[in-house]
Amino acid sequence: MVKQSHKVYVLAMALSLWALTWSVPCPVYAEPTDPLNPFEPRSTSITPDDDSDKNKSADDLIKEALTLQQDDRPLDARTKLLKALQKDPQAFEAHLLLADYYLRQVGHFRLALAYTKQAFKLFEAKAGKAPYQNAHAKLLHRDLLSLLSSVRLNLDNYEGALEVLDEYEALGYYESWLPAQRAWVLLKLGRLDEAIRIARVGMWAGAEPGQTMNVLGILLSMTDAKHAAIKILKEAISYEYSLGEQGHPATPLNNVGEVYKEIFEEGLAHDVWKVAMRLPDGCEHVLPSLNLSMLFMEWNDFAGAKQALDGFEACLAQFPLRGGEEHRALVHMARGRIALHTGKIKDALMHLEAAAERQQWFGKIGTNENDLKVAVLVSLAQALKCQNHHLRLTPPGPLLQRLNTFKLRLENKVRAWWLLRRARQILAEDLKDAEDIYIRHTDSMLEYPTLGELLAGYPQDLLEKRLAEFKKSDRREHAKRYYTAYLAENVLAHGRRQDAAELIDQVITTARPEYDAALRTHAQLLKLSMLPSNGHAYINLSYQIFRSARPELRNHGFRLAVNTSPMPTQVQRVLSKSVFAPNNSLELPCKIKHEIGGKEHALQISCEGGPFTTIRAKSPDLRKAVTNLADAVFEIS
Amino acid sequence: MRHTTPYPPARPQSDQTGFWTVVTMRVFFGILFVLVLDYAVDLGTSPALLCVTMAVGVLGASRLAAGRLTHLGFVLLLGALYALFFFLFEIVSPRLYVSEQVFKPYVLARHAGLGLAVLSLAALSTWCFWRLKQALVFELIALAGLSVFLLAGHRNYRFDLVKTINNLAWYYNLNPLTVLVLLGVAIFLGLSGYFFATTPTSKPDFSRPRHVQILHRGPTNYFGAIILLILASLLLSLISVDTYRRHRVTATLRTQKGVGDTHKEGLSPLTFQSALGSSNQPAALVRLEGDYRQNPFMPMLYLRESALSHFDGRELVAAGPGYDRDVSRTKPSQSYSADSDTTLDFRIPVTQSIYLLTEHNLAFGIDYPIYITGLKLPTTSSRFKSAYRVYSMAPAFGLDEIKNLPVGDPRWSPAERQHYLETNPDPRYHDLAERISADSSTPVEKAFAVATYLSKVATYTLTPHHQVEAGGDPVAPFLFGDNRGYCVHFAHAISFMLRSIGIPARIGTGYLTDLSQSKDGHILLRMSDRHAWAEVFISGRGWVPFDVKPEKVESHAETPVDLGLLEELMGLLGPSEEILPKNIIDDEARVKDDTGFRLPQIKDLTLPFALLLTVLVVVKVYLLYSWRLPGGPEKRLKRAYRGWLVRLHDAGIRRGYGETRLEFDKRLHAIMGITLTPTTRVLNAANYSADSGEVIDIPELHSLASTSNQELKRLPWTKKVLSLINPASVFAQLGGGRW
Repeated sequence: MVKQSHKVYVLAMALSLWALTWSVPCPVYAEPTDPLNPFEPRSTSITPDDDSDKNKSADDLIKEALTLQQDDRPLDARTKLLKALQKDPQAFEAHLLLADYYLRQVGHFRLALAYTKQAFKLFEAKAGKAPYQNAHAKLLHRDLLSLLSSVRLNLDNYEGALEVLDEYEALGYYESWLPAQRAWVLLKLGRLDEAIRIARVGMWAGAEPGQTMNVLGILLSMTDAKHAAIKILKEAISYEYSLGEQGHPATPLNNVGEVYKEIFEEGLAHDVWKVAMRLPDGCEHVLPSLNLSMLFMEWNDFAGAKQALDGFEACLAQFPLRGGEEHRALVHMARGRIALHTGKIKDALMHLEAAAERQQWFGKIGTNENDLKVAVLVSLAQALKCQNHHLRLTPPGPLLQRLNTFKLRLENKVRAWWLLRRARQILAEDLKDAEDIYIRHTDSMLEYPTLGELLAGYPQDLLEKRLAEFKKSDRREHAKRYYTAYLAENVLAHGRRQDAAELIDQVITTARPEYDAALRTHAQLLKLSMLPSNGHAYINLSYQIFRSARPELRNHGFRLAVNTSPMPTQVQRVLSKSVFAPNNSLELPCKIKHEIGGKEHALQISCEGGPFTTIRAKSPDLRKAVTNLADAVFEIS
Repeated sequence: MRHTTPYPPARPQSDQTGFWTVVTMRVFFGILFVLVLDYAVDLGTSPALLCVTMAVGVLGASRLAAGRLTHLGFVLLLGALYALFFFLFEIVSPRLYVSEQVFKPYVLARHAGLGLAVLSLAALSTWCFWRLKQALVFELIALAGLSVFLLAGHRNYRFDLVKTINNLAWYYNLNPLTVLVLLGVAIFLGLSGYFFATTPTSKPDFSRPRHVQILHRGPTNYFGAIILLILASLLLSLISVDTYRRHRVTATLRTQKGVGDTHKEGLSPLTFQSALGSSNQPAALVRLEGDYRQNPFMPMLYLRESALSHFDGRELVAAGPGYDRDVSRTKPSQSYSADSDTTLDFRIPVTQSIYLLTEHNLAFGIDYPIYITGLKLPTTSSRFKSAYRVYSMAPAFGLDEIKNLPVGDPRWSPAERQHYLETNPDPRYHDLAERISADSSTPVEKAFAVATYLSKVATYTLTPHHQVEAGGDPVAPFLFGDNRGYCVHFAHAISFMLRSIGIPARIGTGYLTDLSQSKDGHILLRMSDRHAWAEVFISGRGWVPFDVKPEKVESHAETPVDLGLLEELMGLLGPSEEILPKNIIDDEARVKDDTGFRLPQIKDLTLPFALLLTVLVVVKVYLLYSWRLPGGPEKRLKRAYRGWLVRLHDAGIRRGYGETRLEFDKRLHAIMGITLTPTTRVLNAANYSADSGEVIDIPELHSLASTSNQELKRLPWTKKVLSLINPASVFAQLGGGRW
């Protein structure tokens, strides 16, 4: 009995130590070969040698695994544990440790669940069913329940997680993380009021302050109490910082950033996310980087957006065990959008298709499958439409190629129509009567500046009514111009051009130059679509867009009027079938020159007043040369 | 002069049966189509609703087609249906429907709209089927086209059938192309079945104009069959072409006899004709048994299989046994042991278990192996072909640390050194190498400069299409031409250039994988990970990869590893598989993989098959012996006659179409010498007059049964057994068509 209790304590200690090693990156104090170093890793004497392991007992192997884990050698530790299981398939500790390893280190939640369940089975076979009189059994059962609830939460089984937490509480167990986890699960189940109550009560009852305040902050931000949310999240951040290396400030920092963005304090949101990304726990999940990336996109700063994601993936590469699979759909979505707005349609389609196909786990983030689905479907449909515009503005090739292009355009058109139709349906049916239209809704992954493209497909009466509801309840002044933009696009789609023009002008004039750059561009594109393509107004506006977001011109099927130097008629003809519209009747900022050097056609475009001075392209094939020039001009690297 | 009556004459019963059989078939196929569509695409509405609307469309159009409605009338009717829909759902509902949810009317309209689309599709195709002679052919073309569309690699929203094909190929250990062809044949057979099932000769034959015409009889059938054959050939060739084009299975085909060639002196497994591997076919599962954080190429990992160092005047090929001694040249099934090279520093032992999913001719592993031993295959799956464990001495130095080290092995003899320096005599290699590395001072820096140069200027493409004369230099058109190529071009170009400036180099072949796509130290290698790279011997460190990372990628977009598959394979490996009970998490929510694929097992089919068999036997027994059950004499006589017909059917004697009972009776008399004229008369009288006036003789019924029994006795025993469950006779008689 004494021996047994000792074993249990050792295991409990080991588990805590084990968990600690995951939360804190193992610092390198000295060269691992220094024999006099007190911090010398204890595991150097442990080798992953098959032969020597054959003679060790399961208990020995488990102990070695624990040591290896502390020395940041998780794969060696895992191998030892598996060997231990081979020796003793009933080794409860090995199951428990493996479950924890797969949950926290690897993110293989199904396997973590399998080990947890088996650990449960072995435990119950030994100790019987709960409740337990024995303190050690209680301790282990408590740990098992905690593990199970975490695994279920990560597998998005919120009802299951709540069930476990109910049992946990019913048996009288309590740990400081309990209120926060319970509140989070309730949030996931949409029981906001109850979740807020639990978190608040938890704060008074000695719950872990960092997690609890963080969850409470999120919960409050989902109500109208944005400033209260910021206040409590700030406290959570301070608390996490006070923990030093053991703190996780990136999570509340991300959340406070989200609230700032929601209340249109974009500058603060940017700063906060920047800080969060740089912290050691900044890539624990994708949200700080993703949010920052999406914010940059709203500013038409695609280099910044890309950098934010690159930073995340570089950080994630430090944890090769994880694979980052749980975030991949979101990362693909963001990368797809960046590629789309920088004119790289093929890349955009590849990423967005991947985003549509990958599985995303939502346990750790406050959004759900339908939010992501709508967002990806809309972006994918936009990319397909853009590809059609690109194809239309590419000089036609031989007959077979034209047929292929025709087929692709038809496919894209049908698919884009279908995807937008599905997105509208999901938004209206599964997302609480399109609650995501509320600008910068916390759960949403939508791209708000271009959302009007989706909303244009709703019946005019219904959208007007719904927007009126939002406008009525939404006190944020900056949000109103978004609602106006959506209404404008919808009425334009329904043929009310005059009304649309007025609304669009309103959006363009009131949009903030930096923070609403993407919205402004979108509104300008709408306006451009209403202008005759040979008029002064069209040319002026198209050059404005060309200077601020040039890929969008081609993405939306607009031509850029250019002057041309004297050139053969054939070149003029091919050029006029491209995205460039030769026009020598006016003095225009951009001018294209054509030369034949050797067997190659060389084209050069020079633009006064930006966005570049000169770009050249050449190819033996004239069509190819024009296409290369168009790609070089309308893609941003 | 034509006489018309206000009402069409009563349809013969056999026509009625044929009509409803065809309608039922259409409904069945229609529902099947809807369910397949629902599986392939996220339709966003209830499949039950769509099945119902499909059935309504088929039934409604069939009834209408049997009436007097004209084509124009039908089109107008459909138009009216759409107008009604538009009026109700787009005009009235958004204005009048009061709900807390503003978009509710929109949502309703989307569901109803899909229902209407399916209904009109079903109705239109059914109308054409009955009314237009060639409609069935076009219907079949549409079905075939759809099949091709689904199988041709479209990855629309949830079109995951390509994945299904890959899974099928894997389960059955077949080439994906073979699976495609088999599927094509299956579709062809299915379509043929559909074609013939929907054109029985008993199809309605209404002689009146504007009424349903008999379809596909006589020449039309032949026409349809010819079109179908042409279509099938087209379909198969399309699938093949599409597969080659879209999935580039050329490399897959090369793996049929095992991946990679054996290490034969003077030969190279590489080719300048096609890239090493471009399909996502799983090749192997690698499991790192320990941590390898010191990997200098993180997150990439090189797994070497072979090395090519002998210049044969054209390219680099495998050298004799005196060279490249660090390469194991072992088959996966063989054991291998070598001493670790004590002259090499900063190497650590790394253990890997390699589970081959495709046969390989050579074992591969991280860097140079010192020990290879066979592993027991997991007993739970036949997916793994073989398994082995490799103990490698893997590099554990930083790439920055080697910049000032000399190149080449001091132990090499001059001949050996010369072997690794022999290069293409074309002076352009030397000139270019000199130019690129002019600013670099050490050999290693020069090697880095060459690799970096190619990374910048070269475009990765799987289809470089260089024109090279027989025996000509295959690298020159790449390096001094368009700079378009794949790893084989890159590796040769670097090796030739480095050798030309006195840096000993060779080509390593094997796999290159991205560890950031691994999980728990498990790496799924695909054919697309097969790779060739240049290597330089750094003194005291050994052979080190100097690889190109082209900035411009033309044709090969990196596809992410299927993590779901990786997890599935991880689960198949021991010891977790042996220890964790199989169904431990089956009762948990959210753990089933939505995109998972599972073939129906025999046990899945047992119950339906047993049920079908039982139903057939019960029905057969009923048909044969129901005349013994109580009932009126006429009923009993009818049942007996039917039972007798069933037996004769099983014996191969069937009443022909259009053959009257009396004619059949006469034919029977001629064949078997029996006459049933009195019985037939009684039956005819019972069917067509109010009072038969005949008395039914029970003994006669017994004699009927015994006659047919006699006939059955002549049958071979196999047919006797099969006759009990022969569905043909059951279905022929069950509907009463032969009555």
